[in-house]
Amino acid sequence: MNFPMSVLTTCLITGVIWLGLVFQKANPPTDFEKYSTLEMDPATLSDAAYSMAAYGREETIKFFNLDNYKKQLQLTQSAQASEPKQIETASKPVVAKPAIKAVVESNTIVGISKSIQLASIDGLWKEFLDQKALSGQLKSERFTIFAIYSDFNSQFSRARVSIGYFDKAMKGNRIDLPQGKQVPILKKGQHSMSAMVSAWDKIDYQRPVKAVVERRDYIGEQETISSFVIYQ
Amino acid sequence: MEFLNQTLTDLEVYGWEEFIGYWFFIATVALFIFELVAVGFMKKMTWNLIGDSITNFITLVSYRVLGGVFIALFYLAGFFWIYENFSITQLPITWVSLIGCIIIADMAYYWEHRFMHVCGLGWATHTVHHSSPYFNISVAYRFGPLDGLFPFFFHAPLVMLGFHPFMVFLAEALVQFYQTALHTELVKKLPRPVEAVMNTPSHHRVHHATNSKYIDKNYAGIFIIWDKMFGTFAEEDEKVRFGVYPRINSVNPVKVFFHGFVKLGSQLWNAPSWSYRFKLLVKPPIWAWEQEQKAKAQASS
Ligand SMILES: [Zn+2]
Repeated sequence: MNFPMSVLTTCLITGVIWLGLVFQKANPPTDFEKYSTLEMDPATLSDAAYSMAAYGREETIKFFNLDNYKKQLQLTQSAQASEPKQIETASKPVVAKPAIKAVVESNTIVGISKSIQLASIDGLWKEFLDQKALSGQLKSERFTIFAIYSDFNSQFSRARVSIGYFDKAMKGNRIDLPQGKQVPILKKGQHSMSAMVSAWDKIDYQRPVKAVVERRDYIGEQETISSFVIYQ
Repeated sequence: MEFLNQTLTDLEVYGWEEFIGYWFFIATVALFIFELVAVGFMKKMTWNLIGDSITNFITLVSYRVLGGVFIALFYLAGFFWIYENFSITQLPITWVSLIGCIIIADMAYYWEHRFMHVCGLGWATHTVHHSSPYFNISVAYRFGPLDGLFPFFFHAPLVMLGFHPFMVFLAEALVQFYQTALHTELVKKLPRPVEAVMNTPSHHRVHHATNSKYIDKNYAGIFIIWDKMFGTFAEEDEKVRFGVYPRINSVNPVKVFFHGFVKLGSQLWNAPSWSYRFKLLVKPPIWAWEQEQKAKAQASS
């Protein structure tokens, strides 16, 4: 074959394969698969393999033999449970690099909502987790919980806190997720309580804060957390 | 076969690449040690071979150091930028897509490789890979300074077609890994059907040969069929002499790594005109050689 014919043939073969792939019967991605798609930038690449393991499907986790990793995770989680939670409100404006796009598929959660002192947040979590009427409706070991902090007082010591399951099918008290541009303050991952607290330092307190949202995703006992802030 | 249509997350694709890349490197190092033992048994071990192998790994490190920053910034940013702004569609990330991507990436590899042989600029970097007089796994890791640059342009069209950048990276890596494993003299010929369709150590030895009937043949990555279709195939039927002309006769890693560009640089410096300089960059290296022979003949007559 001469050169032009070779190039043409290459294009033809490519075209045929491409057409086949455009019309392939791909299974639609599950919520889980959609959620796992991070918007990458070079700065986050080094974390990519790690995150892949953390967010990959269970088979992948099994294949990559991450049992040790899971055990480690459980240990840190039980350690966190005993740490007292304090929310610092130092007004250091830190520009958070929007490395992750938090994807929200629909806009309500099912759970409880109360105006509380932020120091007593643990009590509200306990109250929420004790609601067997809600947790009993969970159909899979994969689920997502959102905690929404809004209507802050000027010292950021009080807020309305809503905690709920992100589940379209669940019945119960529905609470709207706040809408607006999400600025990440904590990227998806396993985080210690202190890391979650210091994430709040990234909030630009000079700007009116509409809400701070904490997202917790579960695959069985594995928990991954991310947070973002929405400004007015 | 249901899993073939399963949607993968981009991070899973990236994870597979890391995973395969890691274990592949370990496997090749093991294979190389095995080759050295075999050479030792045949009593063919020489200091020159050892020096040459060490140099190969030094070029790998140099290439990685030079290319590391470049690949991270240029490839990643470039591919994602193209994917988001210039892709005609975004294909689902599935195993089926990956298989298609590998086939197309293999053709892209063919053209990129052919390009590096038939244009002076490409040859200045790719000549490093061909300059070893030996043929073992370590030669696969003998890289030139700009070996990482050209693949970008040949694989960017895949991103434009809608393959996710991580899928393209994985496909590129798989072609590369397959190719790497061919650099051995231990495997003579594989069964006929394999030799007919797939690239094999035998076919790739031909590619590394200086025998005149073997020059500029067998550019393939995984499938030899591209060479057969596009008329660049040659069968290994006479003993292969490895290397490039003129021989560099050196195991000095600095000299090996840069010799292509040093030579191109001096040709450019001594060029009689700008059009000659341009031709040096885009024409096959044999063109420059012919011109030099002509000039010599004229000078002596
Ligand atoms: Zn070559």
